[in-house]
Amino acid sequence: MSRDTTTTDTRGNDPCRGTDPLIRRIQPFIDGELDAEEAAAVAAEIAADPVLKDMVDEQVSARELLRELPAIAAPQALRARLLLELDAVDREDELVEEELRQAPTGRLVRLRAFFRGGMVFAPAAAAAALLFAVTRMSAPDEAPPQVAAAADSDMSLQALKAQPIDAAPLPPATGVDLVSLGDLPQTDSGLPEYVEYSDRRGKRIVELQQQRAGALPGTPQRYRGRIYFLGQDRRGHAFVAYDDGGVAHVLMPASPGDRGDLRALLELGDRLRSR
Amino acid sequence: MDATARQAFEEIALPHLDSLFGVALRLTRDRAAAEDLVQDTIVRAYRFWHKFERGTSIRAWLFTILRNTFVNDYHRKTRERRRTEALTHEASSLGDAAGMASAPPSPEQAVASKVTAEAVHAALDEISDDFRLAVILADIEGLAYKEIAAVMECPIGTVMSRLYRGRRQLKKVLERRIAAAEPSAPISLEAYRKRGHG
Repeated sequence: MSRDTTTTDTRGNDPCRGTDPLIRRIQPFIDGELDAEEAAAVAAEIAADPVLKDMVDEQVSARELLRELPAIAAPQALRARLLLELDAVDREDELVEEELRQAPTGRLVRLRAFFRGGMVFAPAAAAAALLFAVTRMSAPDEAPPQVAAAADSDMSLQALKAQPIDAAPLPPATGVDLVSLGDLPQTDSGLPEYVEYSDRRGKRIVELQQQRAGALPGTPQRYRGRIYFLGQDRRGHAFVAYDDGGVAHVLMPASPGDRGDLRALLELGDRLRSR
Repeated sequence: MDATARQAFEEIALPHLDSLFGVALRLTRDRAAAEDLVQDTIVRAYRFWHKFERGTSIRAWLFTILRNTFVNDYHRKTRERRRTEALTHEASSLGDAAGMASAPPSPEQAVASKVTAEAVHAALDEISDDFRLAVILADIEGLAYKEIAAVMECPIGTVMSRLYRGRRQLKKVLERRIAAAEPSAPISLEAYRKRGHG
């Protein structure tokens, strides 16, 4: 009896239906897929038919040529690289598991609330837009005014204060310009928590910083060896989040009209983290 | 992944690295691309290791991932590269027509190229992807019809047809190449006279 070649499949269909009957007859013989009895019957048939014999000879000779090809060995360097890649996958998995295990704590639950749901980014984007607009309105030669930006009161950005940079500062990272800094309300970190950047293509991106509280939103992805969490808010605007020393960083487009470019966000993240 | 799973993966999947690389090289026809393809295949296999059903063919499972990775990620790139190579070839052919033709192969070269491994590889390259993969899996990797059908996601009857046509094409290409490499036979004196030259 033949081995799985002429029987029916699990649905009761003939897996060789539509196959040329001649091919169906000789091919399993050539490839040793028939049992001894059936193979003997086909061999006798072939021996009695010179045309059939030519067909079989052609197939067998092609198969022999292929079988005689020298074996190809994978380069040793590839083996070594693969093991390193597997290590990287393991580390990535561990990191993601760790991210997911961390529970929200104390007052920093606020950040988690900040990330939760699609409402999160609407006020943030609104605040960013306002900040952007006010910043743009001030003439470059004027003394930098204090800028107050207000967002919805149910979010952390209630009294966002931003201050345009007054003198050419050192760039925050290669290929990135600093546009403005600001503080999130009700925090006393003493550090800027709202930073607006401009990349070399003039793309404005806002970075929000807060102490980590719980898992970061988005899907974990590795980019240039580091873990980022990629996602979109309910309105389809892209964001990229990452953890750096217990501080959550969220990068998002500064303008509400900009739906966000993940590559640009990741590139900025990489530049900031490579400082 | 825990240490036990990692060890199992290394013991069960990694011994097939040479086979994966051989098939990848024959599919991509480029060493660097083959290495990348194998790396992506192994990493994907590792990520989905929990989905591998013990007792089934590891080779068929790995080749399925490799084929899908190739079809999804590499095929387009390879086609684009081949198009560029075809243009380059076309350009050099124009050069030939302009009087820069290379010397014809010597009789020794023609004979040497008859059925060398290089000639078989070159002939394999001319076969369409599905036929090539079928013959590689059957004749080089020794997979059974059932395994090839699983890798290529097609019925066994289709595997038979692809093998038949793939081998046939291989032979035809080889014959054509050998015929092209043969120096034309010297014309006999009698034939020459019959043409009215004598």
